[in-house]
Amino acid sequence: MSTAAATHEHHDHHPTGIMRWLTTTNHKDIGTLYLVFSLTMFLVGGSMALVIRAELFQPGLQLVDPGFFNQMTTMHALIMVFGAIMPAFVGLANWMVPLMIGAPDMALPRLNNWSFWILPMAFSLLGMTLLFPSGAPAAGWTMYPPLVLQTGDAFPFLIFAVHLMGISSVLGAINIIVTIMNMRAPGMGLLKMPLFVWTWLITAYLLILVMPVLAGAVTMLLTDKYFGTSFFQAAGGGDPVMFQHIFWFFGHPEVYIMILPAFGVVSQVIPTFARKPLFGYDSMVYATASIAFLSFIVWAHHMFTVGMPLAGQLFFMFSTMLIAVPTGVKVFNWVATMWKGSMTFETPMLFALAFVFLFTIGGFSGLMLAIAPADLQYHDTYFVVAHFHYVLVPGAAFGIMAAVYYWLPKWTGHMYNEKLGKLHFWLSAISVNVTFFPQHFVGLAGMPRRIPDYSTQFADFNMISSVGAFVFGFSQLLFVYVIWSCARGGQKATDQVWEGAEGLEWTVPSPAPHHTFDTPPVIR
Amino acid sequence: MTEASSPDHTLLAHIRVSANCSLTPRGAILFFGGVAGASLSVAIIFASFGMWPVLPFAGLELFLLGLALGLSMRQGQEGESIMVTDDRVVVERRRHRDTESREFARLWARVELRVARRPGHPSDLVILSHGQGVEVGRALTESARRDLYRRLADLIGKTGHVPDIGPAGQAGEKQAVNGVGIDVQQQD
Repeated sequence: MSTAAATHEHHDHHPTGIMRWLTTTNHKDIGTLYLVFSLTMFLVGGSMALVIRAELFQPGLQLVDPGFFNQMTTMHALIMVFGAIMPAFVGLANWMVPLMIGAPDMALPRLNNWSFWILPMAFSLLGMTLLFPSGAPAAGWTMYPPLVLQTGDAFPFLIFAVHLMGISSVLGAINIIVTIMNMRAPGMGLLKMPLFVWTWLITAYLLILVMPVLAGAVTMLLTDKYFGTSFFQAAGGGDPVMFQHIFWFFGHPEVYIMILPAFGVVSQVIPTFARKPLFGYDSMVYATASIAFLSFIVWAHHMFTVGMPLAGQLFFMFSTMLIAVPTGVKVFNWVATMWKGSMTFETPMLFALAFVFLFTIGGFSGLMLAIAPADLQYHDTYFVVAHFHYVLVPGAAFGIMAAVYYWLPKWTGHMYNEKLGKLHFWLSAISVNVTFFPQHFVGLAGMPRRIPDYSTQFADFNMISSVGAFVFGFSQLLFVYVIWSCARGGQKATDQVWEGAEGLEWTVPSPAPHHTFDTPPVIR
Repeated sequence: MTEASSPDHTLLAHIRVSANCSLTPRGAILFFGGVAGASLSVAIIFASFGMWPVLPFAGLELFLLGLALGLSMRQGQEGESIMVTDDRVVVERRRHRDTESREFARLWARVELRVARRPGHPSDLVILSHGQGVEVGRALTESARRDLYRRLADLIGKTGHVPDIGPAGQAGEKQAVNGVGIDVQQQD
């Protein structure tokens, strides 16, 4: 007897044209949709960042009025978090998780289609507010009341857009978690799964735990504004600080939702180009789970300045510092994997190395912010902006770029242009540091975040930062070109693509056929 | 899906179709219980502080997770066995704990692939005779379902086509050249 096809739902059969993309239930098509959508949002959100940096190029108000500046900061964050980073990782999961676990598709393919198509609707709702006379939301992505309750006509659009983004994320997470738990190929035990799959399993778990909290929080904002409730209105007996607790109970795990899959990508890329198995696989899994657990008990480090008992400050300070331990385990393991490896430095590896180095810088500045008495000085300064951009740009975004270069030949069947890939890397890696490193200095010197004008003492560093931002922004057009040209043609990719690559995804042809693993492989 | 062909002259092929499930029912309950326990604990704590709107969202989400997990698990409990002999086609369908058996005369039986009218929906693969039919291959992907259709068309014939009713050895050889998704191995 031998084993063959099985799936848990039904499939499409190739409509063509626009209908193929509207109705597809194939995990590879949906993965492509997510990735293209997130790249588009990355460019839109990036353009908004350039508006911000253009205004901050010099002190004084040059280009935009302060109201519009605030709209740009808010929209930039919402678009980058919910429109660029998260969908990119869901896209990578859609493409790669079934291939990596030997499943023919996601567990619920039609649900998968809906999860994606909710996203463009959500961002249309959010984006159209820029055309409103009262403008787009401008109270920051954290939506703190009472400020956010002063938003004009855009307010309900913001709330419903956030709800839709949440629904999309939750449906995606449910699909991924069920796929990983129930559709692994025979023989693929949990501790045989590739690290990318592991990190996504834990990420999906985080999403399921925190998304209801966000949904509840924004619903309470809505009822406070339109239905006379007083969850967060002090005048009616509510507590605005409670919103901050609720938001950051969601918001801190959200940070890990954006970084854990990048950990997974780097854990795939480094062993491939070091030509060695990942050092300490089990400890990597446990470290990821530990980080996920700790992410639930550190939220109030975002709000030391609202005032809290000393015991609370100490608890949140020490628990935050504790995260450095499993994160340190991961960084150690990546370095140990490279130790005495036969390393080569193709573009995915370059992005992975930059990730390890620069994410660690973001981690260290996070440790500085965790120190409660010091945070009273750093809070709401550009130091915080520098910190989280080090985590999210050379962290999450470089992780995504490493993944795209790593798996692009498998997706398209062609090798990308290595010279252009490396040029993209060096432009990005240098400019990202030129952009964000000076922000540490202006922050430590006291420049507040979210301001369109600033004291002249900060002028030089801001000018450098803006130059770096424009170089970084325009170098991403090179990224688009590399992907586009690779999709159109180029040197034929082999099935294995990379000499040191191991895993089920490299056993299927390049490009991966529309249907793979109708016959589940047996893992030994 | 598993299949075996018999060297004897009665059994031409025995095809078994079932979904691959890596989670046991007990494992699924434990997993769901763990997620539900954590999620509800968070929601109840917030509700106790007056933030009760978190609770219905958590409930709704867990309902969806349970539904998704249940649907996925149910696929694993379903299965089909299609036995083709030189004169009979016997289809046994397992749905949860029930087993339904249908028998057709091989010369009268036909296989039909009914393409779905709505995009995104799967085709229906049906074995029928005298106006009576039974759907098979529900757990398969569309491509594997089409492979099974070609396989069954070879074995029992499609509408407007008479199958080869030669000796079993010849039928066995035909099975061996089938495409993706159906592997053939001689029975002991």
